[in-house]
Amino acid sequence: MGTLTVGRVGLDVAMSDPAEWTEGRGLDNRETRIRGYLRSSSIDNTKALRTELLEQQGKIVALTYSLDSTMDGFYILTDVVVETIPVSFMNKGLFPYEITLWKIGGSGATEFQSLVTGTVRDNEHAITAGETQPIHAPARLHKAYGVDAGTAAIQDTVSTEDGNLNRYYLVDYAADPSWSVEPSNYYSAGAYIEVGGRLRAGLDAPTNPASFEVGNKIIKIVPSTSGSVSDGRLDVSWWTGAAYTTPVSFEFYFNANRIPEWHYTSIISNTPETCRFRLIRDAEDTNSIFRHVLDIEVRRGCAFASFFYTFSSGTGPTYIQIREESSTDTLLAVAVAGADDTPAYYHTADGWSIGSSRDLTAPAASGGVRIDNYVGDFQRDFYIGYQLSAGAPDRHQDMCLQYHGPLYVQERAVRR
Amino acid sequence: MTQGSWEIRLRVDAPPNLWRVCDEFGHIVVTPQILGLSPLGLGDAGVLSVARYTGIVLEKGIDESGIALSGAGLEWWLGDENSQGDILETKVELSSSTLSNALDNLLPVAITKGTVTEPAGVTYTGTHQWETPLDAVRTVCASMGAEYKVQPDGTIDAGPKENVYTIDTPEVVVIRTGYGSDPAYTGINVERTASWFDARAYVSRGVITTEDSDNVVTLVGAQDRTPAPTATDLHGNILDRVIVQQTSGSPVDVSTYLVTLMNEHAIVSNMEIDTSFYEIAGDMSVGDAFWCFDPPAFTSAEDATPNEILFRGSTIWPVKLRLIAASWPLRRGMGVYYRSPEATPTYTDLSPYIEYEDNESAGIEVSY
Repeated sequence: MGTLTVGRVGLDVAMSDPAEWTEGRGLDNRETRIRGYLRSSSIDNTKALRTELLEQQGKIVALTYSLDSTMDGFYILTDVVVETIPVSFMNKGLFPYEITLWKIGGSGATEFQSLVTGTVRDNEHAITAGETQPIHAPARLHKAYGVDAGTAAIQDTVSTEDGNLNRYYLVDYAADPSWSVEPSNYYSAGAYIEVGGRLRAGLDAPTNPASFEVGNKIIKIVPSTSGSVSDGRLDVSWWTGAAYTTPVSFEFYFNANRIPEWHYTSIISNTPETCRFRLIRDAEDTNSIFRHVLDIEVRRGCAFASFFYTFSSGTGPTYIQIREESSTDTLLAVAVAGADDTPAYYHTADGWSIGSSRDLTAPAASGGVRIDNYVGDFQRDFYIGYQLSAGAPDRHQDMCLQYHGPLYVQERAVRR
Repeated sequence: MTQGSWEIRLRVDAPPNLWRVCDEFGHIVVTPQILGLSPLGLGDAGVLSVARYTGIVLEKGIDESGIALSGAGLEWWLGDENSQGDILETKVELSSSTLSNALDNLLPVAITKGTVTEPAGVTYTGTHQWETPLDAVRTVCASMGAEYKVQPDGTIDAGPKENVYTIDTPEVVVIRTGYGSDPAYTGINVERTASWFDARAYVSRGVITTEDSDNVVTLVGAQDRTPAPTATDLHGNILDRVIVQQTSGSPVDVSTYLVTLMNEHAIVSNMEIDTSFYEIAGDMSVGDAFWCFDPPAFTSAEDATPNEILFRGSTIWPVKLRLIAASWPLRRGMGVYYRSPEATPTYTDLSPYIEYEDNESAGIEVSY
């Protein structure tokens, strides 16, 4: 018996052999058609296979089959049909499926182009584009990395839960790197989202503020709970080579009021390069016309996560505050580059740091950092990271400059 | 702004007497929701004030599929693209006129003046006769650096584009992937998008001439494009393409007029979008600006002053585009009414008989 993976489907819940596999080639045709049965060790797992397979329709997927590696490659999943047989719920589920794919090619025929767009983040620290450290990480164990223009980036190796990952910093904003990778490694050390204990392949997931995980195998963010209910805090931990650190529980304040619970979650973006996850809270505990929205962005290869807080009203908070749970420890303030003396980030003596494009203060009485100013009309941004080593690009100041050089990356797979 | 058009089809089981009810030169009024049993409970002015679109019935037909009605937008009352309409037969001479006064003298009775914002430090001097109010208003606005917008209630707003349309602070974001709702912006879902640049109409210089009764053509003024083009032809000569505009009046601010004219003949950035989201004039009216992020075609990341916004958990650098054309389907739930052309109009509810287009996407075209 073999195993099939279609994109992220099959990575956490195993997908068994297909029943039928058809390849077609014509002048305008590179179609692959696979038929089989979704079945697993439990009805919940079988349903999970169904949901995530449907969610990958339209996406580029890495496909692997343990009994025929010659078919491994990159495809576009064009059509998905799954028949649900309710009577099979009494057992472990048995859902016939058929997927149609357009084959781009195997590892030797497929090149990934990372279309990179970015510039220095608008900031209050006088950090300029030349001072930023844009960072880009292709898939783990990639090969043939190159740029077609601009200055060459610096390669670095970072340890992840899946193994070492090569990444590149001081990436040229005008350069679009290209690279290749084996299909079996495409999702390794990539950004991911789990909701309700399930690895999610797309955007469709139930709202579950008490059970989710957003990470990239370097940083991991899970909700803090009290009695299986979100208590508004986020537990963040980092892979430091052999294990994750003890989670640091961060709490968030709207003026002097701590966010006591998140009410709603949704997946905004879900690719191995970048995942974005949204937490929402009603301004009041029951129905309110205003909302607190906290977006979390995790990128492959980064030791920090970006956060964007928005209060959906014209009269937002005077400030927001982020601190380690119940801690009023004094943090170390650092100005980074530029000509502005105000701190761009605060950090503990070892370990984590918080930074923002806006000026920061660190109120001694209540701890953590405070962000008073807005981006645009009423949004506040910050990041939380961890100093993985004392050398570039892992230091606190490097993460700050990486955060201030954000990249918007679109990955496209093309035939070489 | 060019004239829009509309077309609706009634179901084959619609009452046949609607053929007699819906006459040419009546109006079709489309509202976001059905207005209850009697739209005139709001009053005529009330209905028009909530209308998302008002058009003039200019054509009706009937075949085996039922009755079809079509026509033009309200700008038709100013004149059509063939320069036909309520011609200015009496000479209108304007000297150092404000925009408001110019409209008072040029508008036909069918379109009344709405909200007018005077462009700073600019007046208009010119003569208009034997032309449509549409042509005259366009000349006045181009000369004063202003734009206009005909509202569904038959009024015209005019002034700097920032006062007439949403320009400075767009609230809508168009992005190829990752669309959706956001506290700060409205994201448009995109079913299909095509982006392209078109330089066919590009000109490097504009010229205004007049012609007298002896057919003598006189140069009134000229304006070079800034920045000047740097592209060359096969022999190394800098590109030189000129547009000649002949006017009957003589706009005082030649450079403003020609700059406006050359902006319409620049390298045009176009994006065509099919979306199921678009709700007519709800978040995005024709003429409004919105953010568009579609790298590498549409991004401001490499500009000297990038536009940076936070949208759905990501930092993006969009360009600001303007919606220049939109076609949208009638969806179930919208109110569609025929307003008769009498002095005291009556409304006929066509909503139950419309061939709605629920499965069709709206198409919008934007330009920069």
